[in-house]
This record gives sequence, C-alpha cells and structure tokens, in this order.
Amino acid sequence: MVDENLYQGYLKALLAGRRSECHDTVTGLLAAGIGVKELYDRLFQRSMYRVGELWEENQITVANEHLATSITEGLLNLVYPTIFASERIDKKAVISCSANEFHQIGGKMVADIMELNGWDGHFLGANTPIEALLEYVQEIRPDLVALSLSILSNIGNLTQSIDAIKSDFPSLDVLIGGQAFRWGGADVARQYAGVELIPSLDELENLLKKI
Amino acid sequence: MTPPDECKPVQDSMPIMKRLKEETAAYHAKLESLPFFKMLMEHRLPLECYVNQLRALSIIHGVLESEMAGEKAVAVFWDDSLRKLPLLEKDLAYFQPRVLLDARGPVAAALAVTEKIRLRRVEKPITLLGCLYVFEGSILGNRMHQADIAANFHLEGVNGCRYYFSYGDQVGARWREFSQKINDTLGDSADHGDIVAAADETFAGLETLYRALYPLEKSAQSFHITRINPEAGNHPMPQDEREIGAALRASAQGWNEFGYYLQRYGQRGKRFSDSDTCWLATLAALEPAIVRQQIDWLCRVLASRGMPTIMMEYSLRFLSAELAKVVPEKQASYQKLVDAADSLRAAREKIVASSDLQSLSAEFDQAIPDDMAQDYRNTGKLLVAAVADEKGGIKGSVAALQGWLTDPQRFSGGWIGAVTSILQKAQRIVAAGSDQVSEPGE
Ligand code: B12
Repeated sequence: MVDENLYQGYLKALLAGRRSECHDTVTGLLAAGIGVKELYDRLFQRSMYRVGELWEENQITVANEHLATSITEGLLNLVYPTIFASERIDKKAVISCSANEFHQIGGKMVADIMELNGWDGHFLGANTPIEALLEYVQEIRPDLVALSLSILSNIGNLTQSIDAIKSDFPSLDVLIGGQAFRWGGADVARQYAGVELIPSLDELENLLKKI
Repeated sequence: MTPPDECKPVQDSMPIMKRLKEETAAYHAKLESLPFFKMLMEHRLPLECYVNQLRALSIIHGVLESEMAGEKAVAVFWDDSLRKLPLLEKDLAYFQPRVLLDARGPVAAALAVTEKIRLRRVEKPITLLGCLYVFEGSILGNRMHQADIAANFHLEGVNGCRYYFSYGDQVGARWREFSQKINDTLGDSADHGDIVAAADETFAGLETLYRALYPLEKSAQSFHITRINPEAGNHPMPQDEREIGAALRASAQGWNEFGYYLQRYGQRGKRFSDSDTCWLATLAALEPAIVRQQIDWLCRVLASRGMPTIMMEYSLRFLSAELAKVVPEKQASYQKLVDAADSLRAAREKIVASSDLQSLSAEFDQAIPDDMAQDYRNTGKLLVAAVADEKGGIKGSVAALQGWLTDPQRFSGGWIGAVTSILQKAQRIVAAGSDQVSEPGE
C-alpha cells in the first residue's frame, strides 16, 4: 500500500512540516485498511530513519528533525481506534526506554503492536529511571518487559536495567530491541537467561503468537 | 452575546505589547507566586536551586539566542546586546568551585522549552518574539529580586548575579526600546495571536521549570552535558570530575592544533567540541566494536559540517593521554580510544599516504600569506583529510570545508588559490591511488 510514490510524497511533506498533508496521507491509508505494522515500518520508521540520515549529512537542521518527530508522534494517535478494537487475551507487558534514552517512538510502536495482539501494553515512555521501572513492574506484575534502545552508547543503562529486573524478578522474560542493535551490542542478550533480542516488529508479532 | 464586530476591532487595534501584557498577566502572576520565588524573597532559597536555575536558563538562552541570531524573519528585532548567555556563563563560572550537581527535573524542563523554540523557528519564526518577550520582560522582574539574591547568597556586587543585573542601569530604557520596536514593526499584523500563544507556551514551560527548581529532587542529580554546553541536547558524559577535566583539556589541545576551528566556529563551536569530547570519554567503557561504530558516526556528522576526521584522530589521542594521566587505573580502557584513532588513521592512509598528506600540507603552508599561517595552522592537513573523508564515503566533506575556506568575502585571492590548488592535487592523488589499489573485476 505504501508504494514508492506515496512514500516520497509523504517524506517531502514531513520535511516541509506540512502536518495536514501528512495527516491526510495516513487517514487515507487507514481508511483503505492498511495494516498497522506496514504503516509503522514502511511509512513512519522509514521516513524517520531518512530524517536522521539527512540530519547526519547536514542537509536538514535539528529543528526540521524535531518537527518531523512531532508530526509523526501526532500521527501515531490516529491508529488508536484500530489498536484498541482488537480482542484482549489477558496478558500484560511493560514497555520502556532505558534511563537516558529519549527516543520513544519505537517503544510506543512496540506497545501498540502488543495491544493489537490482545496484550495490555503499559508504555512508560522515554528516559525511565530504573527505580521507576522496577516499581511499575512490581505493581503491574507483567508477563514480560520490553526495553527499547536507540543510542548504542547508552547500552550501559540498558544492562543496568536488565540486571535490576533479573535481580528482583528472576523469572520475568525480557525482550530487548531498537535501532541501537543495528550497529552492535547483540551479545547483551546472550549474557542473560530469559533475555531475547527482537530485531523487528514482524519478529515481535511472531513471538507474541507463540506465547 | 457580544456581536463579533464589537469586540474584534478593539483586539486588532491594540498594540501587541499591550496585548501581550494583558493576556499573559495571569501566567506571570502565577509564576511569581511559586515557592521558588517565595523562598527567594524570604532569603531561604538553597544555593543549588539558584545555580540550577542559572543552568536551566543557560540551556534556554543558548538555544533561543542562536535561533534568533540565525533567523531572517526576526533579524530586525535582534542584536547581540540582547544575549544573556554570556552573563549566565559568568554567573555559573562564579559558582563553579562549589560543584553543584545538575538536577534532572530542571534540565528536562529547560530542554522541553528549547524544543518548542526550535519548532517555532521552522513552523512560524515570527512567533519567537513571544518567547523573547517573556525573557526580556523577566529582566524587569529580575531586577526586583537582585537584592534578594545578593542577600540570600551573600554575594558582593554583581558577582554571581550578573544575569539578574542584565542591562545595568539601562534596564528601563532597554525595555522601552524593545517595546517600541515590537509595536512599531508589528503594527496590527495578523500574527499577534500566534505571538501571544508563544508567550503563553513559554510561561507554561517556565512554570514547569520553576516547580522543578524548588523543591529540588535530591535523588535525581548528576552531571548533565548541558553544564558543558547549554546547546548540547541530551547525551552521556563522564560522572567523574577528573575525566571531565581531562576531556576539556583534550578538547582545548585539539583546537590548538588546528587554527581553523576557532576562526570558523568561535566560542560556540568550542563548547560543542567540549561536549563532544566529554561524550567520547564515556565510550572508553564500551566494547571496542561499539566504540568504533559510535566514533564513525560522529566522524560522519562532523565531516559533513566542515570538520574532517583527522581532527578526531588527534582528539582521541589527546583525550586518551589526558584521561590516563588523571585516572591511571583505567588506562587499559582509555587505550580503546587510541586503537580507534589508529584505525581511523589506517583508513585514511589507505586513501592518501601520510607522506602525501605531509608534503601537500607543507606546500600549502608555503603558498599561503604569512599573516595567515598562525591563525590557520595545519589547515593544509584538514584539506587533504577532507578529500580522504569524501573518498571514504562521507558525502559533502570537501564542499563543507571548501565553501567556507574559499569565500571571497573572507579570504584573499592568494589564499583561495592555495586552497583550491591543494584540493585539486589531493583529489588527483586519491584518484590515482584508487586506480592502483582497485582489484581487477571490481
Ligand atoms: C527523532 C529523533 C530524536 C528525538 C526523539 C524524540 C522522540 N519523541 O522519540 C530527540 C530530539 C529526543 C533525539 C535526541 C537525540 N538523538 Co536522535 N534521532 C531521532 C531520529 C531522527 C528518529 C528516531 C525515530 O523515531 N525513529 C523511528 C523509530 C520507529 O525507529 P526505531 O526507534 O528504530 O524503532 C523501530 C525498531 O527499532 C523497533 N524497536 C524499537 N524499540 C524496540 C524494542 C523492542 C523490544 C522491539 C521488539 C522492537 C523495538 O520498533 C520500531 C519499528 O520497527 C533518529 C534517526 C533514526 N535513525 O531513527 C535520530 C538518532 C537516533 N538520534 C541520534 C542522536 C545522536 C541523538 C542525540 C544524542 C542528539 C543530541 N545531541 O542531543 C540525542 C540523544 C538523546 C538521548 N539521550 O536519547 C542519532 C544516534 C546515533 C548514535 N550515535 O547512535 C540518530 C541515529 C540520528 C543520526 N542519524 O545521527 N533524537
């Protein structure tokens, strides 16, 4: 559904800050019955990665990047009705970004995919301190915890979170993911029992179907 | 119900400054009633609250001032005498010896304000005036509190409260001048409503900030990168003061090596170099492969902005040496930075031999006017290195350097000729080299 033409048009509008044009593209796709995962991966993720590359190459400013982020975050809300219409299966997950990790769009998507698969996805948002994460886990008693990492140099914060969870809740399964792992750090998962690195939303969904 | 034509003309004909004052009055009063100011007036405000306030304001002013200064749509309203960051920096420097940690809440609140400011600049730059209005207006209020600050913290003269003493005895005159300019220039433009909304939003951001400033949440304090560079955003930095000191010394050494950096990027650029070098120091704790990946990323970011990778090689070596001096027990970790520098050098030498880099650089130094030699020391090396970066896949590396170094507004024909010539020679060497090394069938 997201063909090259549509994507390029959307990207242009996103970079130029044309909110309503982006909004119309997404409502159009939703009305045509696009899958949430396809929308997330092929439109939102692809365009935001491109935004990051353009910033890296000094072709757009930080402000353009922030504007694209703010538009994308707004558009995520359009998906709510689809997500919450799905049938519940009485399973809970806590999804969080580690301390000092301010990239939250990916984590939010993970929570949405869980909701779509009938889970209750409790998303704690960006920069969650370890103590807050532990408190929340204690309160909710989830079936699993998913942690998102974007900045590879923050990996120390991620392992601290895992250590803390594993020490307080040894049998709780932990999923880790996020773009940091495109660049390295995959062995973290191998250092722990019950911690799995999930490279994509597709893989996440496959796993959820098995649980 | 009031007919629309009865109230509308009043709104439109009202000067913008009056409207700003009236429509933000409630916000203003609310801000002043927060516990922070109450404690200040009772001279019971803890010093860390005051210093964290200065730090948070430096984050906001750092961004607001660079956005204002770079934006054509508000150029008529801006001049450098409006800058408050230099005053805030002096105040912070005054308190520096006491090492007060950065509180997470206020930093986050300040960063949220800067995010809005950045968005305003792309979406509707004229509305930056709403933000500026709030901070210029706060100068008047600050003056009322200056005596409280001095009494609360036993300050002498303006030491530690220069920001609160902005504009000296010109404070009233400056405010009238500001108001006049805004009113005259904006007339009854259609943007009034959006400017007022920007002021409201800024007040709301400040309310969050001042609530976070008093009482301060003690558990959430550490060194935050914005203490090094108010515009650095949000990235890791060392938490060991010795490592921070080492990073700052290494950054200075790097800048000293290549004169071009100070000439082009000035003090603001130096602050980014300081914050980046702090970040580099944190990498030493990570796996070598991650270190390399993160450094490659920063090299790409910098080279496309006119800062070739060879500078990174130098910085990493300086940094590792400085770190090992002050924290010798971690020497083995710091060695990873040297290893990363070595692999950057190896990658560069695959494209341009060091002997070619040296000889072209010497030739460049011969060719440039004598009076440029000191200010632009080692620029020849940067030029050759930029060619290597470009060849190594960092698009735009040469243009990012060449564009600035051959600007006729800035440089003589002789200089520009030397820059152009060395770039051409380096490009020829690189092209010839790639013919030689490429395997048949590649
Ligand atoms: C938007 C953005 C920001 C925003 C984030 C705002 C927000 N509300 O999230 C802000 C302004 C805060 C920001 C800040 C910074 N950023 Co930034 N940012 C980006 C940008 C442009 C887009 C991020 C994004 O939303 N991507 C889209 C989402 C959907 O992708 P995703 O996160 O990978 O998630 C997908 C998968 O990974 C997966 N997933 C994610 N988490 C998980 C978890 C599990 C369990 C599973 C199964 C799956 C999964 O699901 C998603 C869908 O497939 C990226 C560019 C990029 N490549 O993404 C840079 C980028 C990530 N940022 C970068 C940098 C450097 C920074 C800063 C350091 C800049 C600074 N000086 O302040 C800070 C760091 C802040 C911090 N400490 O975290 C670099 C990182 C490079 C590096 N060194 O590693 C990037 C790559 C930009 C670049 N090209 O240079 N950034």
